[in-house]
Amino acid sequence: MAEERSYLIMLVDDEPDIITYLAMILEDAGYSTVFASDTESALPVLRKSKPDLLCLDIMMPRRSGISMYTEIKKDPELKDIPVLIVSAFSRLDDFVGERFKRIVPEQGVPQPEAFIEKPIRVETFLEMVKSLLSGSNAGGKAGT
Amino acid sequence: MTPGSIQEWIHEKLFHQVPVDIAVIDRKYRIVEANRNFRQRYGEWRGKHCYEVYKARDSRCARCVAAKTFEDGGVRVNEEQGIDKQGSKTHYMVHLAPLRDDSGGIRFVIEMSTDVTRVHELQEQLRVTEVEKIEAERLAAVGQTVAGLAHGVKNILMGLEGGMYVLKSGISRQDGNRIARGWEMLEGNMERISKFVREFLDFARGSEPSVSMADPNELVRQVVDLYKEAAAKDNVEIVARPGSNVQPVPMDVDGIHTCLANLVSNAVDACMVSNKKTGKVVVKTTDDGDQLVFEVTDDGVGMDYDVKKKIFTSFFSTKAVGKGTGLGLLVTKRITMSHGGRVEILSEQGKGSTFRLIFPKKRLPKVTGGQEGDGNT
Repeated sequence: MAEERSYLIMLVDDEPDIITYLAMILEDAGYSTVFASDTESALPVLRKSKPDLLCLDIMMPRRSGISMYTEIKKDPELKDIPVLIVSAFSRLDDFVGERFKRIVPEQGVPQPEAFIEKPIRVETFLEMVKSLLSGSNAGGKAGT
Repeated sequence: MTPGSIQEWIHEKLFHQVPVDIAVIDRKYRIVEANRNFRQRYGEWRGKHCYEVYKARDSRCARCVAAKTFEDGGVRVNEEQGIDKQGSKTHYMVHLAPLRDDSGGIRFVIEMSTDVTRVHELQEQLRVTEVEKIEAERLAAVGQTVAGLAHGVKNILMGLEGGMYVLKSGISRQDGNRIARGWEMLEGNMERISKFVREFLDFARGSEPSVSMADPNELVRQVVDLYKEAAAKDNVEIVARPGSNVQPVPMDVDGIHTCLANLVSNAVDACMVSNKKTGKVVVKTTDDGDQLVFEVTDDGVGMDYDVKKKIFTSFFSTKAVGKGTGLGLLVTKRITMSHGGRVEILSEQGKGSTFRLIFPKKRLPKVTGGQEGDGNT
């Protein structure tokens, strides 16, 4: 687990309970976390901390996760951060599914790397995180 | 063609072949002349009174339009219902004009009727279609409600599972802070789910709308008064702008009150979470003759496309835990639709939102039961 310890994961969700829950799961598995509770405050944190993975909720006040996602994927400095969508909408939900399907041609950005539906299963969530981190092949941030 | 034959030709072509039923009646309301079309529709007319032929009555009509034309010589157009020779109901538009003799006295009145029965049938079909459409919209709302229920429950479940995880891990690590946090999460989400279930049951049960004539402006004043003081404490001003030509209409007073209260309370919340120091909510009514509109505008946070798109279709709330169950707008939409209306949203992120309840007056429900003393059922 020593290698995993160096990964930094950012959580964006407007519900403090969900941030607490996900942060504890991740920290217990040896990851570091940063968080933000809305899209506006999330972007500066994201730019500053350059996490290895972003876990993003969809439905938040003012600006949705979808619009934040598009902005990240258009930003050359941020676009390589893998995004795991954590939402109470299922992947096949017509609304979320359709929106993401449309983002690709309309905004010229790729689909999110992965989706997970709330309520999550801890093991599934951790497996997804692990595979996203290894797939990103960023080489971790050993020593930082 | 001789002048005589021209006259004959006019009589034949014009009088008998125009697609209009023509009858001439005298001052005793006897039909003295009629064209072929008239006879085809109403049967034998000779020696009979107009009311016998047109309407199968044995006395004059209470509101006799021909009598007025005999009296003042005015040309009139009126819509009437009659009974044709087969006994079927007819709707016709009748044009009445006086026929004067050489001395200027009115001896006869000519009645030219156009059959509009088919138009009435189409209007009726349209009305039935409208009713069916409202029903279909209602069912669609039920479907969305069920889908939305799942979304609301999933969020709370995640909070409960989170609380369990935090509590359990706190116990196994003997970490007091974790135990306290886990317990707090469980409590908060338990409270949330019980509130959610209570509100959902209220929503599912609904209530029989009790429709009475009510003044929309009065409702706006009541709702504004209800929220004004509390909002002022949070530096949000609520202003009522009742439309000057808004008239009482049939509506479920409690229902529309709930809708307005939901919109106003949302608008105040939207102002409170914005970065501005003060907020303003304007509640107004307008009536352009065809539709009645309630409008609630705020200069609060506004919403982006995805938030806007989703607000009605689920128990979706972006408000803090314990503040909203996501039911308010769904209830508003349901009540509005049950009045044949629709909800329109204009919102710009950072600038504010406008919610409109638009009621085509033709589609408003009929007053139910006794008009008075039945408001609290």
